[in-house]
Amino acid sequence: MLFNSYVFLALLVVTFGVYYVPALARFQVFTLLLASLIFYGYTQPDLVILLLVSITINAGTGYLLEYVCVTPRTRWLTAAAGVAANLAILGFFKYAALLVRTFVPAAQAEQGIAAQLLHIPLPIGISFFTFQGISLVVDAYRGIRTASDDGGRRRHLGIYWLDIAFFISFFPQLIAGPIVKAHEFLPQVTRKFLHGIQWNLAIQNLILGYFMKMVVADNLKDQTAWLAYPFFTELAPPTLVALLFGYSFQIFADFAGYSLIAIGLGHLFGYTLPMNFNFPYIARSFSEFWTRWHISLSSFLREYLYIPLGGNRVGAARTYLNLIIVMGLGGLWHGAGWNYAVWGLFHGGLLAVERLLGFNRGRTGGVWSVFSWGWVFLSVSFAWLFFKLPSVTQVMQFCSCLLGNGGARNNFSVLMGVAVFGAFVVAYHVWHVLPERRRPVMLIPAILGVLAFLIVTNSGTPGEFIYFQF
Amino acid sequence: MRFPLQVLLAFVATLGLWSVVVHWGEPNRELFGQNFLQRNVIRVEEYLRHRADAEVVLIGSSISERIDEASVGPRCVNLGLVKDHALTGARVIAAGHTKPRVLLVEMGLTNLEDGIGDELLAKVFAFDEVHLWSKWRLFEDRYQPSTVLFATLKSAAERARPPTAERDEEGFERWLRRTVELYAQRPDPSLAGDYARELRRVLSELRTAGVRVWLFAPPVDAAILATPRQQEVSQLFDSAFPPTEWPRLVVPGEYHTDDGVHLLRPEGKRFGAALRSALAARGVTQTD
Repeated sequence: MLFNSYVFLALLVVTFGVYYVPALARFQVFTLLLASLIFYGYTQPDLVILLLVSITINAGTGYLLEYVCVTPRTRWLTAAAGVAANLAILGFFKYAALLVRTFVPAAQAEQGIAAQLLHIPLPIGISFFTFQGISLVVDAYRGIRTASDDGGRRRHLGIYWLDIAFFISFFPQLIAGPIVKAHEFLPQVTRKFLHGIQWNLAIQNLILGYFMKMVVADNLKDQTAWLAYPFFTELAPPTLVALLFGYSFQIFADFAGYSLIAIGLGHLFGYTLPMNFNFPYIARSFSEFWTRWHISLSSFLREYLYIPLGGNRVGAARTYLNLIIVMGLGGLWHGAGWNYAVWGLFHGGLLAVERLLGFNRGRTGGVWSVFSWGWVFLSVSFAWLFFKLPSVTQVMQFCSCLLGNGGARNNFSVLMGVAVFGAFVVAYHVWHVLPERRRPVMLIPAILGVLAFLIVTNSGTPGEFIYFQF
Repeated sequence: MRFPLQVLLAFVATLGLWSVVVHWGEPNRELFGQNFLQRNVIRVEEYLRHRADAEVVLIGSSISERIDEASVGPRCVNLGLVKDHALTGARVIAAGHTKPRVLLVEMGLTNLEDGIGDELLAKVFAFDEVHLWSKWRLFEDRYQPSTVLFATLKSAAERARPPTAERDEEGFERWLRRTVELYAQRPDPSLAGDYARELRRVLSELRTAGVRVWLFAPPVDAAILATPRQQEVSQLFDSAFPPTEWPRLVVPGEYHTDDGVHLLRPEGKRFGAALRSALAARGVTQTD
C-alpha cells in the first residue's frame, strides 16, 4: 500500500479513530499491529505469513535472551541462531537469484531448482524488517534494556510477542524505514493520548514529506526516465549532466520524503521515529555524508557491523578494509545486483582514501569548503549511476556520452525540470545552512500552506518509492 | 492549534489565488507538457473536457501528432500521442461519452513494447479524476504551476529564436540513419498481432456506435518505405484491416520530415490541409 493512495488515507483515518477511543485504549498496540498487517498484505496477502514467521523467530529469540537463557554460552548460541535465521531469510529471498545468475551457466539456470530460485519474488521491505529483527536480537543479547518501565508486563510471552510484532511491523516504517533499533522503540510502547500528539511536528513532517515525494520526486522521475539505455545516447552532455543531478535530487526527495512521512505518521500515534536524513548534500566529506544520509542504516551498520569488525581501533590498514567491507555489504543490502556492490565499494574506497589523506575531519575555510563540498556532491551524484543503471557497462556508456556525444540534442524539458524541481531540494538545504537568526521562521506556516497547495495541484504521476525495491 | 490553522489559511489563500489566475488569466494556452506523459494527458484532457463535440478525431503516435489539427478542420482534434500509438486514442474515444462522426486512424506499429498508454488511461479515467477533480479547471494538468512556468519559458525562448521552416540537412541525415536502423528491426510478431487484434476490436465497437473509421498512412521518407518494419505495417494492416472492409484515406504528395518519419511543423499544416481535401472529396465537411 502506498502512502499516497486513497486506500491508505482510509486506513489511516479508521486506525487513528479507533486508536484514540478511550474505551479501546488497552488495544492500542493491537490496533496498530492489525493496521500494519493490513497495510503490508494489502496487495500480496501471502507476504503477511513471511512477516509473521520473521516476527515469531525474533520474538522467540528475544524472549529467550531476555528472560530464559542465563549462561554466556547459551546466550551466545541463541543470539547467533537468531541473527543467522534473519540473514538466512534475507539471503534466500533477496540473494538466491543473484547467486544463481552469477554462478550457474545461463543454459542451466532455467531448469530445476535453479529456475525456482531465479524466480523467487522479493518480499517488499524484507531488508528493513530483517534488520530490525537483528537489532532486537543483538540488543537483547547485549542486555540493553528494551522494555519501558512497565512492571514486567512483557514477561508474559503473548504480550512480548505482541510488542515485538508491533515493533517490527509498525506501518509507517515497515517498508522503507527509518530502521528503528529495538532499544529506541520498545521503551516508547506505552498508552498514548490524543492531547499528547505533537501536532506541529506531525503536520510539518507530513506536508514536507508528501511534497518531497509527490511534487519533487515524482516530477523528477518523469524527467530522469531518460537516464536509461539507449535514451541517454540521444542526449547532449549538458542534458546528461542535468540528468545526473536530477537523479541525485530525485533519490533524495523520494527517500527523505518517505522518511519524513513516516516520522509524521509516527507522531500521529505518539511515537518518535529517528531522523533519517540530515541535509546530506551539504556534506564536505564522505564520512560526513554518511552521518547525514540514511542515518538509520549507517548507524545500524556502524553499531552492528563496523564496530564488531574492530572499527578504527585495529590499525590503519584494517580500518580501511573494514570501511570497504562495510560499505560493500551496505551496497549489496540495497539491491541484489553487482552494480549495488560496486556502488558500495566505490563509497567504501572514497571513505578509505579520504581517511588516508586526512580529509575526513571536514576542514573549514572559504575556498576549501566550497571545493570539498563540490567534490563530495559530484562524486555522490556520479555514484548514483550505479544505482540507476543496471550494469557497469551502461555506466561506462553514459560516461562516454558525457565526454562527447556528437550531434546529440539537448532536451529542454529535462533541463527545465531538473532546474525547477531541483531548486526545491537546493532551497531545503540552503534553509539549513542559513544561520538560525536569519531563517524566516515566521513564514513557516505560509510556506507549508504553499507546499500543501503544490501537493494538491502539482503532483507528478504517482510512482513507487525507490527504496521499496530494497 | 494556532499553527495548523495558519497552515490551513495559507493553503486556502494560495488555492483561491491560483484559481483566479486560471479562470481569468488562462496561463497556458499551448498544449504543452513537462514530459511525454503529461503532454498526452493534457491533449486527452482537452479533448474530454472541452472538445468532446469534435466531428473529426485523428488518432496515432507522435508521427500523427505533427499533423496540424486546425488545418484538417475547425472541429478536428488530434489525439496523436507521443511515445504511444493509435490504440490508446481509440480507447479514450471508446470510454468518452460522445463520439466523433469521423475517426482517422494512423497505420503504424510504434511503441508496442514501451508505450505509456496504460499509465495515461489510468490517470485520465481514475475515479477521483472523473468524479472530483475534473469539475475544476484548476486541476487540469495544463494548469499545474510548474507546467505553466515551463510553457511560459518555452514560448519566450521560441519568441527569441523562432523555429525555422528550413530543415537542418546535416542533422536530418544523421537522424534519418538512426530511424532507418530502428526500422530495420521488425516488431515482435506476437505484440504486433495482439495490437492489431485489439485495435480492430475497439474500432469495430466504435463503428457499431456510428463512427466512420478511415485508416491512413502518414507520409514517410522514401528511405523508410523499404525498411522491414514499414513493410510489416503494410502487411499486418492489410491482413487485419482488409481495405474492402476498412476504407483507406490516401493522401498523395511528398512531405519533408526531420528524421524520416516525423513531419516538419509547416509540413504538418500542409498534410493536414491535404487530409481535409481528401475528407471533403468523400463528402465529409465540418461545421465551423
